[in-house]
Amino acid sequence: MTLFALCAYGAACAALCRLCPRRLRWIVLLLLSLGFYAVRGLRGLPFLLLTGLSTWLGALLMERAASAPAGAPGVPPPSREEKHRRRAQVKRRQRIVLAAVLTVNFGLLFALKMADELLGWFGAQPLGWVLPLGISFYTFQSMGYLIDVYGGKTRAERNPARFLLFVSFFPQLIQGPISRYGQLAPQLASPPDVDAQGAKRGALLMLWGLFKKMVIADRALPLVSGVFDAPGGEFGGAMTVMAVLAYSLQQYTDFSGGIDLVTGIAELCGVQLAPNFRRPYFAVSLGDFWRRWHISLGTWMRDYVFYPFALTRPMRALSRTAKGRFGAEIARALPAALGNILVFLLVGLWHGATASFVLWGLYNGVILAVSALLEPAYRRFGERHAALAGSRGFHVLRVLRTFVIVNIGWFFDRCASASGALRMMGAVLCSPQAGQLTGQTLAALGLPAADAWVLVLSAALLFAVSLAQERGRDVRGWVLSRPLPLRWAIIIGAVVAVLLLGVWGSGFDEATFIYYQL
Amino acid sequence: MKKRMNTLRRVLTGALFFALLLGTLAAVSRVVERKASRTRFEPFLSEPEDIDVLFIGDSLVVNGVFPMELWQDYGIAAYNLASYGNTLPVTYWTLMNALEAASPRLVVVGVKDVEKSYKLSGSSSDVHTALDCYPLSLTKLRAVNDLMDDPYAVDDSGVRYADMKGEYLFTLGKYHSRWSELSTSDFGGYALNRQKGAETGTGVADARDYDLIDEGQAAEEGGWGYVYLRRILGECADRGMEVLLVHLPYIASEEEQMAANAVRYIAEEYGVGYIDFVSQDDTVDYAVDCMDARAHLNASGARKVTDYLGRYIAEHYDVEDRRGQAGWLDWDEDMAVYARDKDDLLRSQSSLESELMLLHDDDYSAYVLVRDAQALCGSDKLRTLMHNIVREHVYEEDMFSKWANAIFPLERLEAAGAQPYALLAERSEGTFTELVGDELNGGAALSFGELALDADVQGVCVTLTQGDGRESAAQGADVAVLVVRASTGEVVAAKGFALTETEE
Repeated sequence: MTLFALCAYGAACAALCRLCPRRLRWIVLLLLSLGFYAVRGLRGLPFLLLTGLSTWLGALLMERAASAPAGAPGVPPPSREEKHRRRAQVKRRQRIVLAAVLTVNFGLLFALKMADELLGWFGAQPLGWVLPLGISFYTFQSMGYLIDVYGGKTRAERNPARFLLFVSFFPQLIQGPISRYGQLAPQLASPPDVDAQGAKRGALLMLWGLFKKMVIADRALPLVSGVFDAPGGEFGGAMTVMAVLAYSLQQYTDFSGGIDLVTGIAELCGVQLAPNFRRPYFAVSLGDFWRRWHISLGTWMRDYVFYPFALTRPMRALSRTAKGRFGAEIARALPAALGNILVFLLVGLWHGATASFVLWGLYNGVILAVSALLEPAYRRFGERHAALAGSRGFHVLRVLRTFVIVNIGWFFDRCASASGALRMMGAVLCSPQAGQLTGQTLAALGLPAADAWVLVLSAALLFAVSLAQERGRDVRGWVLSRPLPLRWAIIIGAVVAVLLLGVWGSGFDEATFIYYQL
Repeated sequence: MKKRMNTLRRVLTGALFFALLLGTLAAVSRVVERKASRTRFEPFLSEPEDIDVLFIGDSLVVNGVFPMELWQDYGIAAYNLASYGNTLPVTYWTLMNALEAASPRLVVVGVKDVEKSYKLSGSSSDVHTALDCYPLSLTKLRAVNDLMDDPYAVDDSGVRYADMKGEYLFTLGKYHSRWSELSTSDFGGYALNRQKGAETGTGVADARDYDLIDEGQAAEEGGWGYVYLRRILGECADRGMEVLLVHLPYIASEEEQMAANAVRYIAEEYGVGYIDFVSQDDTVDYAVDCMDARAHLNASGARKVTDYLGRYIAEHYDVEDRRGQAGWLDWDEDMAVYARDKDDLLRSQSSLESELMLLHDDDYSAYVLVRDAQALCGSDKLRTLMHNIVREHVYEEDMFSKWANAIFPLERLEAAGAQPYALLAERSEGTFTELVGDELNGGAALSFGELALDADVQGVCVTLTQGDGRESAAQGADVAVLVVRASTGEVVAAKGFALTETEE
């Protein structure tokens, strides 16, 4: 299914929803979501149903275990010890269910995702299993719900079909975001009417997403692939820097463009998905960056890995021990530092069971850990040099520093091997070969001058829009409030730009995203 | 009421927006599309009168049949809708789309590759050329669906045809990336084909000969070509159109000849005409009439085949001579343009072989002076090309007609030895003269003036002094060629060549 087909499908769904009575819309959305899934790969449907139904059942069982039988009339209330014993028993039962469902679903995800890589380690033949569409996203989403039910934050859904819609809502199956039950399920239960303004906003967001994905991300692809996938030593540092910058651009526009597209489709259907990006390259620190990039995964990791880990008994004990030796500030930061390392190690492994992803996770985790430990020192610096710390120049410097740190990490993310990443970094430092940085080299890599200009100008437009958004401007609102001729000219111009300058057509699957199967 | 008005206004605004959007996209699509298809077939689609004869088929037909020659010699209003790489399934759908714009009396079908088991060749670009110009219609939709119904069929780059359907209906999908190579011609100034769809080949290639098989050896029907050939015949019969099947000359393998023989039985079954130039084997001379090794015909070969077909059609089918008829007068203007294009070809050749090949044309008188006849005859090809200039169309009882390729009409060329040799082909008179050695000294009196022929060790020179005193001269190191329009005496080209490199 091409992106245009996806847009058409989304628009058709929105129209069908609008025509249906509000109370039936969730059924329409469920059928259309399952239909979408079936079209994209019927073989994945059983996995989706397994996750959906096992999670629904698990949550229900946990809630049922928690609901204590009402005391019979005349029977004295249980003693404190009895209550405590019952609570412990309930918790134990819930834990068994939770563990079982988590094991089944994460086990399935792990097996499907990692089996070939692990077999590869041992030199065995790969199994060649095809990952079901969006399995990571719907598994994380479902397990988040299950843990919330376990923690008593969310009531279990009684209706399996409604729950299945939460798991299978088609816009989020492609590459997220990982929605929270409390945020998404009420909207899906009864999607509101979408007025003309809402529809226009949704359509504009879709168009912007297409622009980012097709015009920027896919145009940068040949340069990125050409350099990163080239045999070692072919390119010097200058071209490598160019390629990693292009990868920054490609990865961001590919991922966020796809998210904009599906968020726009959801808006057309009357559903607001959780934001997944907030202009990450304007971040002033690595921590800030990861709070702006793939936000839904970051918050998932924070809520279901980071906090539970940081609040474990060993961590609290470690904190207490550290307090005596290094002081309260370090003691407070230590569990967070270790938690960050763990989270990024897991995220790295989620990307792939390779040394380069492990290094990528460690790189980010360790920098965040060090940052957490140095936080008190930063704070004191800020207090002593308030004028400097508050200046625009210092802010820009921090943004640039963060950009450089993130880009160093991308070497591990994009290179096929850790050694390749280290070799390319070495080339940046020791062998710049600036003479390679010519139009001919770019053209040979599949980025002729005209295409390079399109990339540069599109990136400039992206920067301008992002800057306006960063300053709190509602860009979509601005476009829609222009006088009609100008508004139409902008929209028609944008459509033409996407169709002319975008990379699409037979022989190229523009609907493939970098994060498609993650 | 107010609410209803608001709704109506909103609907109308939305409709206007989408109309504007679609209009813009249609215009953009038109600008960026590759013009190969439109260039060749737009004149057909915009032709106000119904074309009498349609030629359909593959590249052999594109290069092998000149509709403007048919018009000039027989008054036949024909269009060549064949396209490079066309299989018979594509040819069938070309016809179906074309029939939405015309109702010809006769459809001439090139029947090469009937035995092929695929519907589309590997060149998706060729399929675009064949189909792009036809407007979006139910027929075009059916064509694309039918041609691309095999989920495993791929083009040369490995892309599945089944995934390309959309780009054949909406060409923006194929050509949108041409934005970086647009030129002013893409904005409407592109040159339309001026040969009613045909294309002229000017190369002279060495096409190897082939062994003829017995006409009784026929292949069993199998392959999409047969299926679609029958569909063409059925469709034309239903619409009351006559059909002539032609197997144009090329270097045919045994298998291909057997398939062509099977077509003979199909033609008999449907009661339609069939000309197998391959088995006839004497219409063209493969030594000089092919532009490439695959035996696509050059201009000389195409003229022979076209003349044959013109006579055959005029004799066997109820096709009117449209010359001078109201509604067809603009074809005379097209003819004048075609003639100018032929002049340009004669002027622009840098190869002696191509120049001599193009002189096989009754529209031109040609005066060729060779410094050393023996040196020229050292090349079999040049020697044959000299003979080919004046080969004539002769009639034989048992065959409708044939080009006497076995005939080498020049009697003194080979005998001239190392002496200078001149061939004066006077098309306005229907005669040719050969002069050797000292005979050149006196020059020659022609219908349009006096011809002086000078040959020495320095080179050769042909000078034509016309009645009004104008002089035109062709000079060359070894060969000088002066070309004059037979009907008016206008000098068209004066060129010189060196034999060693056959370059001007």
